[in-house]
Amino acid sequence: MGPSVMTKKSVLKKFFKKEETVLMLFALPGLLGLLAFYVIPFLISFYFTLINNNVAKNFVGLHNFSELLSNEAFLLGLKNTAIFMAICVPVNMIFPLAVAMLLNKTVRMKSLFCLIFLLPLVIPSGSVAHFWKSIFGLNGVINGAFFAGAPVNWLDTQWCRSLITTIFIWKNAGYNIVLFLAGLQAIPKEYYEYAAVEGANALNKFFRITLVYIIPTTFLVFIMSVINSFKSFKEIYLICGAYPHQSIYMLQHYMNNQFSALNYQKLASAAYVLSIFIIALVFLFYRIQYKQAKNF
Amino acid sequence: MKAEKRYRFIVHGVLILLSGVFLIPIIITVSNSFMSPFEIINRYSSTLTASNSFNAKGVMHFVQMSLIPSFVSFKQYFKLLFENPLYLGLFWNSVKITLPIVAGQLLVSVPGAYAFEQSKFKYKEAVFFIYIVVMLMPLQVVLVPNYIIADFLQIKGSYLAIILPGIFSPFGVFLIRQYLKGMPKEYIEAAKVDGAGHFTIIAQIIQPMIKSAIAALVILTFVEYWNLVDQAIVFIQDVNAEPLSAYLSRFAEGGGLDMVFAASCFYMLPTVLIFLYGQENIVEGIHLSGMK
Repeated sequence: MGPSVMTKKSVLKKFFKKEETVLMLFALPGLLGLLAFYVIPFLISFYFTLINNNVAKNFVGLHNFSELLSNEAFLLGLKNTAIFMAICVPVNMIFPLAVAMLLNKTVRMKSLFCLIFLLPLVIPSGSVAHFWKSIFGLNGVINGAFFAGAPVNWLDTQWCRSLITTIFIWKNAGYNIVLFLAGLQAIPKEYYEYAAVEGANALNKFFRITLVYIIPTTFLVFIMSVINSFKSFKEIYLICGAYPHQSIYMLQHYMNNQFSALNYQKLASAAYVLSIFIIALVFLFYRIQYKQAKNF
Repeated sequence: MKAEKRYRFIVHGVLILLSGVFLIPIIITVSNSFMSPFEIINRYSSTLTASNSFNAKGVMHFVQMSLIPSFVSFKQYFKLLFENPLYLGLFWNSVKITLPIVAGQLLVSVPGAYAFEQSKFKYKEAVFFIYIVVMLMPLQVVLVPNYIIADFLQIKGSYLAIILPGIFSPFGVFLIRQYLKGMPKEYIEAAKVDGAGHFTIIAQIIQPMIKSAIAALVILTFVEYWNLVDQAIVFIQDVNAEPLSAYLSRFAEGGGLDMVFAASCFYMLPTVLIFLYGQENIVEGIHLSGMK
């Protein structure tokens, strides 16, 4: 670098300029890929929601949306997905919180327990599919033990929703347990000690300290649980097959039919409806969290 | 103090019981993979055979599940690996889909996250917001743009239709950036003062410090795509081209009942090994993405 102040400055300036260029080059491949494979085709697909079909390409306005919202299969899928989420998300939060609180009380083997609870997460769903079928299927253990006279395939009754939920929780609880445990461990022990001195009971401590201080964690766990609850299709497909009981006919089943029928109009409309639903949900919860955070 | 001790005893008891419940499906699958094919048929077949009819009730034979095989046998694995070419083929399909995605994610995510963290670009958070929105979208939504672009590029029938969106999935950039945020900036500043370029900084400072982040990303990405089902249904029509993750559940119906447990175990082996090897990283990875 030059000795005079002026040249030093201009060299530095150049350096910073160049630095930004290099950084941009670092980010560019990923960004372009994201745009090419996700964002741009998604934006383009809005066009498909407005035309009648790929050949005639006549503008039909919101006709595709109104048709979609009166389509029985779509509504069934939407309803079942929403019901599944309404059951699964709270259960997948309360149960892991309870386990995390127990874990937080233990001194030894915390990480071992965490590992055990996390293990189902890494097991491919297909690897345990046969186990679940052997328990709940037509010739399964449950029927053998209790219903040998009139065996039922429990995976094809209205019970299948609870069974899939259980299997889903088995697989996904570990993730939330680890998150909650981290949140709990971040609460200073002194808070509880002060509370004890003030004469607070366990219930008071839970509602006034624990719940209050794990709100940020809860926010994250909620978002992750909502996202993950859409993954239930995997379990349903692997355990109950491509044509499951109608109480677990999910949005993905509807979408798969449209994929094989190459119906871009229905696919795109469904994707838009679903994404608006997700964005609204996240936005709503974000607002709630923001308000909560302001109360501190 | 006695009450305290009893309380702790109960807590541990509940946790051990719960762990048992969590482990049972895995343990049964593993232990039953060491039963002979003959024993599996006897225990799991719904039809009555000469050797299992003694414990039949009514018209059908019910599953006689057992933790311990009557005789330990490796015959299931032998059949699977040497007598049935379909199985290894499907396993190989999974490898061909998963490994490129993991490698690509790493190559794209580490520099990408570094750039987002270091850049002084005014609108970088706005751009990053795109990553977060895409990340929040469920597979049902993102499969539609994935499909449209695959159709446009004429790669619908090939693994590229799954691999390319996998590589550019926003999760990696998000996770690595979370790690970088928690890293002291001084190291990078000091290196810059010493005249180090970005490549040097990434290779010599960032990479060793975020080893655990990279491990977590590798594990989570591997586990995610090793278990892929939805994309296979949409993009792959030929059974022989399916990844094993999608076919495994039909293994028993496809005449493979006598080796279904060995197949299940063999397929979970890579993820379990990788998980045990990087257990601390994965826990830390989840922690850190949760801490923000």
